[in-house]
Amino acid sequence: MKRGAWSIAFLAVSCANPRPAPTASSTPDAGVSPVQPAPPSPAVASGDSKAIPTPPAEQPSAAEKITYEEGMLLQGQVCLSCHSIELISTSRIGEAGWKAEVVKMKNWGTLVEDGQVAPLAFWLAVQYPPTESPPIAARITPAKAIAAVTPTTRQRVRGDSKLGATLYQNACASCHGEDALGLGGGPVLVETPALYQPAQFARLIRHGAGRMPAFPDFKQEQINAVLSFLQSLSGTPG
Amino acid sequence: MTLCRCRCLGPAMDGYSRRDLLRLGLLTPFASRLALAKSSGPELIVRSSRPQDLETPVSALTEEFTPNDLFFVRSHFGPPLIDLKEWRFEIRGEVERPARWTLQELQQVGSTRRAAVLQCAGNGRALFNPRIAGAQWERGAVGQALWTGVKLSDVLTKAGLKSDAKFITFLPGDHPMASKVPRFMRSIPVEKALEDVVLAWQMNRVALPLLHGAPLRAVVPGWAGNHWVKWLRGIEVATKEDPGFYMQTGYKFPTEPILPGGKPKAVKSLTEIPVKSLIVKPAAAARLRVGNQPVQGVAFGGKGPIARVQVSVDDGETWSDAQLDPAPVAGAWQRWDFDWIALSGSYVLRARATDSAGSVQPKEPAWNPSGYLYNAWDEVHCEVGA
Repeated sequence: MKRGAWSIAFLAVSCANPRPAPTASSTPDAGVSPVQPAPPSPAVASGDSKAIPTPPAEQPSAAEKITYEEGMLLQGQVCLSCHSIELISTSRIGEAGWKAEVVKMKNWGTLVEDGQVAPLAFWLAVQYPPTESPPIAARITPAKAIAAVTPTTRQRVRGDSKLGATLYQNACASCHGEDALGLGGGPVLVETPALYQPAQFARLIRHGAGRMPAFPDFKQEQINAVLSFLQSLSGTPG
Repeated sequence: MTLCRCRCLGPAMDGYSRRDLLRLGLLTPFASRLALAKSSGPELIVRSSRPQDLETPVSALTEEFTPNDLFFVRSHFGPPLIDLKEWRFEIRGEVERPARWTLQELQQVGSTRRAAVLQCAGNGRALFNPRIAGAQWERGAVGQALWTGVKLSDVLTKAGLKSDAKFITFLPGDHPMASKVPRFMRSIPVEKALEDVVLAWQMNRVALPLLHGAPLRAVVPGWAGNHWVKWLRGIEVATKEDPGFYMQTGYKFPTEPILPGGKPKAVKSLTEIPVKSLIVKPAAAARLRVGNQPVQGVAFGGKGPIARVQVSVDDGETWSDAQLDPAPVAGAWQRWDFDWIALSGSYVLRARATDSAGSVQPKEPAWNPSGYLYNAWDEVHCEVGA
């Protein structure tokens, strides 16, 4: 059984199941060491992806500590502020693999608490089980792919960049960083093509997206001010 | 001489369709926009939408040069929108004459044009078992373009290499998602830099598109895509390779083969693309008619030119030689084709290439923990019916 090489195998859990089923260790570790050794647990009949396994008798698994909804929220906050869902949902790397990825991202500044790492890794592994093929990838026309990064204008916005700097520090800096180079909560804003897509930029501020909150009260003048401030920042060869 | 059906060009150009010319930007932008609006052509496969990792459908690799708009896209952090008025190409470190050049000044150092295959180090990652974290590329994170730029050797000669110069580190323009995330810094040895590396501002004879590194990217023939740094802002000439994550931890490959799922004892930086062939026709899951069905593809990688490509129509039981084009230049791909008289049935087509040193594409891929450099026999399933 080729898949035995996985340190931990997971059973599929359909989206309709609000509580991910706990896991079962399949075979001894074949190379990838989990951060914490998995508790011994009964073998589970493979092949039936809908089967709900008997939970391990001892030591409550991380599943006991995270619901489907909590996992969705964590995924949104921890993973999706920088990555799009395709990268997450197509990775079928098991709990140990996810733990390693989340720890790596935590070290790179992602805002995730120590106590959230194990439950999130568990949830991701159950949600995207190595035993199932990833969903079929979406397609995009070349024109749309290019449009996503193409400025709709090359003109700098007319705005009060001094006011923009103040607004930015008050409203944006806690997630995107004082220098706009990105903190764990929000991505880098320096030199992003979005700064020259003013209509989309305004929509994003007013409506929010994912983890980013909406700022419905921002007037166009204030949005222009923030935009003007961000457009004035430039990159360096570092 | 045949005439182009739309009469736009007079004589049709051998080997290039009107659509190819449009893609290559050889027709006017106006004509190009019209054509794009009318055609619903092939689409890219989305591996990540933000930042964009987009895979080329293999059926779009039939031409010598892959059209820019269908060329696969790999982004670590996404494109920076660099203001060319402020952009300078910085040369610093172990050189006699550090410099900050405008693009025009860089272009005056010299200009060359070179065909080269660009393949992502992770192309084929999704085909490994057990699966591996990262963008789930299947077969299409590869393409060939005609690159125009300056030889890095000319740049280094002009700047004057000091005697202790050992590595060239590319200074990237893309900003990591967050300030604690390491920048995408890659170094290459001076020997490779002087051999054949190009700093390119054109791709298939048009200005380098933003998704492909505008205004300037590295072209490192024969080496995997992780060396082809995009959105360049300069180079640093150094005595050591970059100390950051992407040189010291990322892009490593086991020094000895390991079992799938295993852990390597020792690793080294991956550099050259291993010998590989790709079946571009028929397409995967094609339904074909009985009779003459050409099997076509490309081959690249390994040491020296590709010496041989073999095709199997019985899942690797028996093999026949394909006709192989000669190598135009090191680092370019060679196209091949095979005349297949197809009888009705289900088939698993396979292709395997052999390089000049005798290395043959293996039946099983060399599994490694990051899923790099997949080069097992290529595989296409198809049905032949009356």
